[in-house]
Amino acid sequence: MKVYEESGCFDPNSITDCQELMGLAGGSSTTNTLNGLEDNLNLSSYNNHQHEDASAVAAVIEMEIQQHYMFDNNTVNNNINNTHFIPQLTQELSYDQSNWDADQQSFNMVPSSSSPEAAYLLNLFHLPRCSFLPNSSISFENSPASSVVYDPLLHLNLPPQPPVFRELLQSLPHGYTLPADEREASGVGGIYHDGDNGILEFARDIPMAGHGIGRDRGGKTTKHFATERERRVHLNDKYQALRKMVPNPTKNDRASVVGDAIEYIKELLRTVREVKLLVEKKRCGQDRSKKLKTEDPTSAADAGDVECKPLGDPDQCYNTSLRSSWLQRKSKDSEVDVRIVDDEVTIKLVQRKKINCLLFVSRLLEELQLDLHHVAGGNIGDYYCFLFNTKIYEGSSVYASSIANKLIEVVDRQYPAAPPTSSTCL
Amino acid sequence: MNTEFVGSDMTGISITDHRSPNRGRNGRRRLEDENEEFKSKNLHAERRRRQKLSDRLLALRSVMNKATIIEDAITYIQELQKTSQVLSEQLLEMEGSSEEGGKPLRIEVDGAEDIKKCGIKEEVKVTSIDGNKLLIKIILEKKRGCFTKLIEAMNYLSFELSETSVTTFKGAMLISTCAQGIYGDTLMVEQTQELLLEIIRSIRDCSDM
Repeated sequence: MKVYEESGCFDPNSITDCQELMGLAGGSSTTNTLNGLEDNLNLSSYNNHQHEDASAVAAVIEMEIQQHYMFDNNTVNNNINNTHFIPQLTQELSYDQSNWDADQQSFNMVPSSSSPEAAYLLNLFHLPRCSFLPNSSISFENSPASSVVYDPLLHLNLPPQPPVFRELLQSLPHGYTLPADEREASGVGGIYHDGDNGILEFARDIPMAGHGIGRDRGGKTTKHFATERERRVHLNDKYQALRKMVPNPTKNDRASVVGDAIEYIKELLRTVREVKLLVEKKRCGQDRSKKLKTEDPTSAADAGDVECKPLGDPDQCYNTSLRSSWLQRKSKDSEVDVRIVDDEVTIKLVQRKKINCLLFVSRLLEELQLDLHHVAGGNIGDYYCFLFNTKIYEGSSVYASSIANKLIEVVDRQYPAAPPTSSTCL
Repeated sequence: MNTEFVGSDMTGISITDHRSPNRGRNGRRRLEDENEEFKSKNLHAERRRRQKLSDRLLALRSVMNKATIIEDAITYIQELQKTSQVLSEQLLEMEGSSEEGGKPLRIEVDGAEDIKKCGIKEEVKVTSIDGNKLLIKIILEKKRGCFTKLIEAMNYLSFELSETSVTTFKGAMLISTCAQGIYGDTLMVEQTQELLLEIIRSIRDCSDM
């Protein structure tokens, strides 16, 4: 009689589930040998729960699993053999415990050729299904792409095992740990890998679903480890490259990098649009100044609308649209926010140092041909904080990013000159 | 022959075979109806085609793998940066070559006149508050660069401005600040007032640009 014993912790919160499981595939004589394990798993003994048709059930299960997971027939048949069962089971349980991580719930692949019953029964317990169950394109063959061997039990959320059990596990050769241990896995590996690193490989590129899948759980077959790692490193390099291009990089994690990149791209698009507009206006102005001077059309069209200038100029300027753009720049001790609508520029400056930045800023604004209309600000704790409302002098074609960049530069540059330098003016 | 109707009472752009002017004459009613039908079929077809295209583009995006997405982002950013640089250089060139010096002066001349109209006068008022702080209020005629000069002057006198507020109104500028001696020394109210008055007068008389 087979005893099917699973680790039985499908639902980590309920021992009763495990008990049911044990009852389902109730064991017979061989339960004795498993008692030790059972106890260690904190399951009540099931010696008493023996279903009469346990063997029938087991057979059915095997058949289903065989179909379901496309296993190599030979391996399955081997596994049906009773005598191999227990060692296989324990081997299965010998997966490195570090792989049992709550995060990997997205996986429910249990195509372990050595314990089809386990696979089936695990499936019974409504574990989250993997989006690419075997009927799809997953190949269980040796794939040239780098691949990952997944620990079928990793989603099981096994409760913390008592130390005895842990020792028991660790005493068995691991097939799925760090690559350094790969070679040790020969004892176990023979069964799982079937000699050709076959059964449990997944092409890495298949999972588009879910980011967690991209992480590498379990060990890797040595053949593909190098390319796998290389690929990861490559990808990380790309993220870093992206981060470097961005002017205000914040945190170092991938999500922030992507978020910053998105903001930066939007900003670049705004800037390009703005400068294009300015160029157009300039060109228009130059062309018109060659002819008779005419009044500038001051009608504010809707943003983006295109209208011809009056007076039938052959060179038509298509930009009576409102110019608007904004940007932010942060540096270690300062923050600049520039917003432009038409010809009004609003600048917010927050600066950490205690220097007379008002002077430098107003000088810069002069240079940039910005006419100060309002200023408000002052000292707040360690910071100087200012808000400038300015108007662009007619004819100047300054744009948001140029303002922001120069401002940040000026403000940061002045730090060494901490005591305000006296300047001649009178 | 395709014609784009912009500003007609059709909400979209219709591209049609323009056989007859759409004037709503009775005789042409039948033709118009036919036109309408063609237009509408065409419209639908066109819309469907566009929808199909955009759906496919979205699907293409969703199917790209992570590495490609990142690479594409990098390329796109580089491209945008290049474009923006090219454009700004172009702008600079045009800036250099254009000659538009007349207008800015116009604003300043107006400033002086406006002040006289409103009866705003130059003024400096200094009050002592809270120990060694001074509350300074200045009204001066707004000129290009006057604020900078004022700040420079106050800097020179080693004032540290803790709160500043500036407003402009009709060619005059009102500055109100809370100043402190940088080195902690107490500033004398009278002296400060006189000094500042001198300063703004010289600013006003200063005609360099």
